[in-house]
Amino acid sequence: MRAAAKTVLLPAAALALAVALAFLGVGAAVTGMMPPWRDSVGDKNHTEKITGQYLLRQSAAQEDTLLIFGSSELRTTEISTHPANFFAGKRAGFQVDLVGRGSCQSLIHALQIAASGEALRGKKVVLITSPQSYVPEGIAPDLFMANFSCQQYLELLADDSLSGEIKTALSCRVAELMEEYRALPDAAPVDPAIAALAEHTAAPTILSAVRDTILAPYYGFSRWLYSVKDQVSVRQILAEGEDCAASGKLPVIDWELEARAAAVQAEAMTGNNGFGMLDGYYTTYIGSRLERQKDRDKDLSYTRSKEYDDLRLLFAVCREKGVEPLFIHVPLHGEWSDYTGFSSERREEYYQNVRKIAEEYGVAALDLTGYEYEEYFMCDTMHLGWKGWLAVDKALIDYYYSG
Amino acid sequence: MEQKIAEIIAGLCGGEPEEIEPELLLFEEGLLDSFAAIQLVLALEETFGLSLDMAVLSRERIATPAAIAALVREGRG
Amino acid sequence: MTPYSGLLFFYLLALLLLPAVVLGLLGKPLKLYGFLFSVLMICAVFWEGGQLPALAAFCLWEGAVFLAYRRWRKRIPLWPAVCLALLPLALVKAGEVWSALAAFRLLGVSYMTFRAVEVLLNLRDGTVKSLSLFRWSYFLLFFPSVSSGPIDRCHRFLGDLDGGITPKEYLDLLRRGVWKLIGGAFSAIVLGGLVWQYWLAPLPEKGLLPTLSYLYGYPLFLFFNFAGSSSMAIGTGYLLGVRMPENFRQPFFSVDMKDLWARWHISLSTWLRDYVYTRFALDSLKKKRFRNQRTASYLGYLLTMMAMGIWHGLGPRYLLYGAYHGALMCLNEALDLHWRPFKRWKKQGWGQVCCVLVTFHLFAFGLLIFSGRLF
Repeated sequence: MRAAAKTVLLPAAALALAVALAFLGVGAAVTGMMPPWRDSVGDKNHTEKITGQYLLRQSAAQEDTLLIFGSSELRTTEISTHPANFFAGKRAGFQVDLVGRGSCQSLIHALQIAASGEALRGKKVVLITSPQSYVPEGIAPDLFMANFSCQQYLELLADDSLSGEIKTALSCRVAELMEEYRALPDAAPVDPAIAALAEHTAAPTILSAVRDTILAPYYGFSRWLYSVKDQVSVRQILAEGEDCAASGKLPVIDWELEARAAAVQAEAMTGNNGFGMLDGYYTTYIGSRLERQKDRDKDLSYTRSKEYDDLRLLFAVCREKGVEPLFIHVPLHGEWSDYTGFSSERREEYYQNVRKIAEEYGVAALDLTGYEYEEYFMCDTMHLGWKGWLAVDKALIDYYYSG
Repeated sequence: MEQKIAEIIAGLCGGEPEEIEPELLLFEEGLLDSFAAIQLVLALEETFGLSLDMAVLSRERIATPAAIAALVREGRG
Repeated sequence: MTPYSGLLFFYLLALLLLPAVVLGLLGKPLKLYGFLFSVLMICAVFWEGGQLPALAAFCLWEGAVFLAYRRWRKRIPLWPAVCLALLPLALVKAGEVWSALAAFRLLGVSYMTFRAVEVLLNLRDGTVKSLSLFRWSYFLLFFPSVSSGPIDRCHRFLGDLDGGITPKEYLDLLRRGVWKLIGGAFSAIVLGGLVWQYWLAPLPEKGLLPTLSYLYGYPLFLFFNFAGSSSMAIGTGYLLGVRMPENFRQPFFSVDMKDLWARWHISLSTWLRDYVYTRFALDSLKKKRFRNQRTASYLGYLLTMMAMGIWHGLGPRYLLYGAYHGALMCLNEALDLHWRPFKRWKKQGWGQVCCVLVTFHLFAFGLLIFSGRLF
């Protein structure tokens, strides 16, 4: 017996120790070599902010950042009033941090915020959702998977401060969308263990509990591995970033002057159409096909959508995480919607639905839906434009310095 | 018989029969290649009047002159 | 889930190997657990890819061919059975180039079909006298080498299966197996990954210099990756008490093409050598098919190498790869026979260095064809 211990157990223990030390060493080295947070990283909506964790937590740890969770509207950085431009150089005493890209809908933001640990507690956070998210089926499975992060999901399940109900509700959606995604013909491989975890958390059975127990070490280790990978992948971004000093005092901004400058830029950028839309957008999506799009949306309705439940989830997550967000309620392009037959009554139903949910959760909202027909408020059919962003900028300053 | 086998092998690889030791690794030392192995089997069948099956072509059974001698003995029954 | 990649695979592998290790160290037979291991791992891997039905169909087909041939082997010739056994492989390979057959997809079909064919050949030769359906399934579905080789031999494999292992022997296998697994993982994942990430992936698609760089990087990547996964498969086999054959032996130090095929993907080249080249050449000589005996050898090499190309796939690059190596083998044979200094050069000194360098470049160019980068 002693011989067996010597020949098997000792080498096995030594090997296990060596492997563990190698992994821990690599992990510690990676963490040790991470550059600090840089302000300029906030100005870009890097993919790593969506797929990972590190950038979000670093940004949240800063005293003077304002996190903005959005989707495709964050892309329009050619517009001078876009927050990344308007607040450049911490003009108003804070740095914005843009998180999100196209199709980062409520559920994606809910998962991100749920996975943030204690980083966002008491932080100022701005949420923007897009009208086009509110189609009946909500977020499409392929768009969901493009922005889903296994790391964040593992992280939020391991967070004890998050209630079981929230975890179950999020997992139900994750499991459902993963299953739909895997049924698609050209789906990329999905980690089957994560899918199993989501199914188990959503609706546990005895069998799934056994499977979950067997896989528990795997979940723990892959969570660690994801966090190392995440740090490695953002290293370069941080290393290339730059800091900027804040002015420290509240700026005096002449909003009249800003509005006029915005209008001048808007006029120059929207020369080829009468809708006040960006030239490039108009040429690509409308242009010669203008006639055919008349009354195209006469059956479109955002009145019933899974997205509303996801929005509720997002607000519920914020409440549990101690975040009191500012919610931006974005309108549609009024004139264009009339042209395509998306009637103002149906638009109003959507606006009202969202308003009610925000009220239900006591979320402060910046309601911009009254500006549907305002010139240059939007930059295309559904994204905020020169004047729209300016209205947001103004609200951001008030929100940042409130309470 | 061993002498005859050594002669066959020497003929195939262009050496002297005296150099072919019983435990010489014919393939690993590069004396025989795939085609020489086939020629060897044919020569054995002819010289000793045997009918060897395909299985002998697996190399462990014709790896050394000694192994070949054992094979021939077995084949003669 | 791809075998030998991804954390989940290795976690499951380690978890399911643990009972085998305990059994082996206690000196208990590993046979039954080994089969269970194969079945569980195959279920996990093939279920994830949605390929379990395809695998079941494949097994039924090959099983039927096997049973029929075992029953009537005295009365029916070998070739129809071999053709039927090769059919699944042919369908999958055809499906890769012809979209009408694209539904035929099965991971590891190249390896499993060769195993099934080998059993038939062995039954015919009498190398394997009797084989139960269980032992046949064990060989066909043996998981460690299902997706990336090495191609084990039926006779050798069954010997391992029946021979008992003492705890002492197992301890030795365990040690070597663990090192093989770790070394293989390091080679395939770390070294292969680094070459891919920092050398091959950033190369532009076209251009002379990038292609030249690819010429050197790709053999290296393929070696790290493939030798690494072979090594992991062999290590896994060791832990299950099966001494699987080696697949690579410092291939880049080969002095000529014949030497290379004795060092690169050894299990495939020896399989083809034994079952294609030798059979064809021996048969030709016996039947006196050609006036010059060497013609049989030259044609045998061409045939074998074409078969090797086709085994990889039916795309033009694989066919060209096979033809290229067929031509090189013939050239090699001709040099061996008719150019006296060649044999001396290969043995030592600067001549040997030259031979190694030339062989490497010829082989690297072959892989460039294989990679499909040229056209």
